[in-house]
Amino acid sequence: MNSKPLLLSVLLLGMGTALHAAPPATAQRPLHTEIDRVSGLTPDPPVPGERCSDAEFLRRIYLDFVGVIPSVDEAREFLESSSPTRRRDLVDRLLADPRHTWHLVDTFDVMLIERRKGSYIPDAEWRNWLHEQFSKNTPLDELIGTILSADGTKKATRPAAKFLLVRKLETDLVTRDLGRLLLGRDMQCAQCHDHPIVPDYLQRHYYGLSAFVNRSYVFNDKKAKQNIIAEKAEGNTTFASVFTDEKGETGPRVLDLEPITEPAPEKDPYTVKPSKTAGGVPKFSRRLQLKQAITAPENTAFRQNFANRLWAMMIGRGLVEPLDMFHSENPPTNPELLDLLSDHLHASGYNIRFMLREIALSETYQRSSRLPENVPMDSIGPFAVAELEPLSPEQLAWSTLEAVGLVATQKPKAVQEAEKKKSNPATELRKILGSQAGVVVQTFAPKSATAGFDATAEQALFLMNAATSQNWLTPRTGTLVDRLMKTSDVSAIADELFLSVYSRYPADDESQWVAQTLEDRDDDRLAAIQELVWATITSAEFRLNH
Amino acid sequence: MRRDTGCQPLDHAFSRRSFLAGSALAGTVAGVGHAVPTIAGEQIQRRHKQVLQVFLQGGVSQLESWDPKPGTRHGGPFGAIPTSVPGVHISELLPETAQQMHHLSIVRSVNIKINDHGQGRMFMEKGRRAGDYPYVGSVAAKYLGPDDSRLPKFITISTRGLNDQSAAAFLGAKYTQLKLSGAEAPANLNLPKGIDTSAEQRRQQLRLAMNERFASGRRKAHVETYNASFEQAQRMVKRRDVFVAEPTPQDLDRYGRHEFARNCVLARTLLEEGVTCVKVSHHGYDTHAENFNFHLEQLGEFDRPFATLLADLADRGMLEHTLVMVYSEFGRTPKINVRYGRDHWGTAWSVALGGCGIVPGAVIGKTNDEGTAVADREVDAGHLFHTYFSALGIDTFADHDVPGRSIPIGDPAAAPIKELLA
Repeated sequence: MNSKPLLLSVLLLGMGTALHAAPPATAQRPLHTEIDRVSGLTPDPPVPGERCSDAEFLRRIYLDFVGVIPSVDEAREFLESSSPTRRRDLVDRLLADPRHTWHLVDTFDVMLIERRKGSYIPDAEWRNWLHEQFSKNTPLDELIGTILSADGTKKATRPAAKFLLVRKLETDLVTRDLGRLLLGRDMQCAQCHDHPIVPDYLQRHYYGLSAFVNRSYVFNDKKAKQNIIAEKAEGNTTFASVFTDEKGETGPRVLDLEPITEPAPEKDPYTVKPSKTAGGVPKFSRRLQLKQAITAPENTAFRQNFANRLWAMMIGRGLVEPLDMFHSENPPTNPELLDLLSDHLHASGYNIRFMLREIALSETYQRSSRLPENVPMDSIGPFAVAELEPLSPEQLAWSTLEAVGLVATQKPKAVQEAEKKKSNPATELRKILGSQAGVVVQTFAPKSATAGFDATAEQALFLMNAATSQNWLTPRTGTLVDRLMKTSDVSAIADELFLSVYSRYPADDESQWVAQTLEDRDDDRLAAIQELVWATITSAEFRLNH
Repeated sequence: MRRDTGCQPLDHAFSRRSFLAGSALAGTVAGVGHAVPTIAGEQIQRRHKQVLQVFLQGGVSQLESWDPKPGTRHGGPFGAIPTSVPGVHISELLPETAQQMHHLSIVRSVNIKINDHGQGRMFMEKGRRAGDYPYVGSVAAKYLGPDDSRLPKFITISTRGLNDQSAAAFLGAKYTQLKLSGAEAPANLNLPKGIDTSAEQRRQQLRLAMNERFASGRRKAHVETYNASFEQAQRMVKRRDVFVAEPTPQDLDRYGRHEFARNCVLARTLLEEGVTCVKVSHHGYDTHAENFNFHLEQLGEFDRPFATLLADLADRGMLEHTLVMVYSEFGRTPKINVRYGRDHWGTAWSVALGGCGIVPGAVIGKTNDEGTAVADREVDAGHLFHTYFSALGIDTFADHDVPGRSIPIGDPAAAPIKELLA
């Protein structure tokens, strides 16, 4: 497994171990070739449909790995390379890029917190903690385990308690999200009765999860001036259907696995008795059983859920979709593939980067989103054509700032700050442009975690008329509009525009559009250039990952 | 379950079976994923029904409005007056509304078992006690009226910023509310400086040309969704005047000149413009102290504009296809506290509704003689939610039209108030 790119990435990382080097012991062949075999891409690639071009690959892998389109220089460099290993090299280079770590932070922050606002754990502390975990490639099961067991009293793990604290330990909210986010099962309907339509979602499943957390509560520790998670030693979980006279009682239990064995009740069940001044700490904590119960090997729902989520991060669509609707009447589109991914996720020691790398190297990932003319979309096989997926608000924000040249103008300052603070330019750039990006994120953040592509009039109005979006078009030294203003050759203008915004060279007809627009407005060159930049950054090609 | 509302026969095919067929397809054929099955949608949208929500924020007192108990222990100082419906009396604080009572019905037996503002409001909006469900307005926006309407389909007018981020839940932001804080235009409706109409046209055409080129040979759904958001934005820019138009002197005379009166005129305008759900809020009913003075003042402000709006909708033939609901997050305690106030009370209170699909002039349920408990036909917000949408011709026992999920529109454990349905 000691292939060249791997060695290269080890050098690039400047660390003792390659973060993604974790070939599972069982694998006879690399995972990415197995993915292609199981997805039906090899030995005979589906026809119609084709492998994506270098430009398509470039933009896609930047968005998926570092959360932003390439700079105009990065785009040029890759598109001019003729190395036979250029795609693989880029994959490894981006995995070692500091922006990749921040992209994982963005992705898992949104996945686990779902843009909730809460003051118990400041966002920055939580995100820095995530950053630390992804920097050292903490195994995903360990990361989730810490999130489930941190109670907020220890400095090192306090930020991890955000998952529970931001939900205020509200039993039903936490129960639902444990099911949705960690097990891929939205059992909300099973709160009041067995799910009316999904026969797999039973009320006892819901309450089995609920029993892990319903004794826990937020305690305001006035001495330490912080809110922590405390727990009572009593309180049983009973439920009754609103439809039938079925009643039940359950202890902590994950789906249909064995219930958690609890010690016999003691006379004094507390290590710390709950009072006005102290948060309860029971001798036997139900909540602390969650970590083991959720991440245990026999709980296959956990690895299937995250294999599906990692796949969706890369491919744009889960094998099970919606991501939180695993049940027998909504089977995976390719069950063998889901098993393959889940098994490797488990066998690799829940190594996120290993999984992302293997998916990226597969031919399945490297399909074009385009079909030849006149081939109807519904006639094509699975994975023949890549999905179109809207950029996340974060991807859109940073890509816009990159495209219009604001990143380039702030880069020198970021490099300077990084030297001063011994951090890296990517981190400093996020600080410098954070509030600008924040405006875009806020405007484009979906209003619900479970809704699909949310394109609203409000967002379009923001792009059309807001002061912020107009500011992107103001010529300042180094911005895209400024660079285009200073370029006289029309085809050079078209190249620079398309490379900056679309990360590709323009086709002939597109160069002609650019020339035509400039000609139509030869009275006002700035206005013409602003129209061109505006039209490209508000276009579907920019808005979508394709 | 299927029923005819009498309001407008609607033979819609929004059944669980047709939904499941659609989702099974989405699961197996690549590329269908984002295309929402449209059969159900099209059939429901044939007739454009609308909703007017009047939200009395803070919790209006049922004893000072729809369920007066003059002369009883907790009745307070105000009397009851006859209305245009023989035998039905409401508080003397609502004299003009009383004259329009033949357009309304009252449910006097609401018990939501919640005394918390936030939770009560959520229950009343979602018809579910908890969880990630869409509001009445978003559900209406999703299933009633065409998606290419000139204005957003769900508009709320409220002078207070209530935290209402997730109104549309899984239905998507397209069906969430546009919030207006009074008669003023939403943000970003003016073209930026230096961009005139012809420059605007040029840049939009350029954008569309790029999109057309990009979409060729690719899946169209996302491109169309994205284009639609710009179309809607451009329509809103063109209709900017609707939001800022000054009411006519006649309307000011008839409705009044204060903020709520102006908001009621705006609500009428928006309904006439075809907005599917308009929610107008009137604030200041959380009367823990001086309940009677405050209700005298607040309802004094509410009565005329609301009654005028109702009369206008009736005169213009709009009430036939517009459901009207007047509600709060809860009512107020019968017991009068030491500060002459009434406190939060979800146990036995009233809502009023009328218009599309609702039997007019009815009184459903009752409280006991002192108003301390529901005496007959107890309902909660789940029943009301079923009732609103049954009146609008939607099968509330069917699933939401959301790919891959099976979520009943109404709480399957509740049901509509049948005797209220026309």
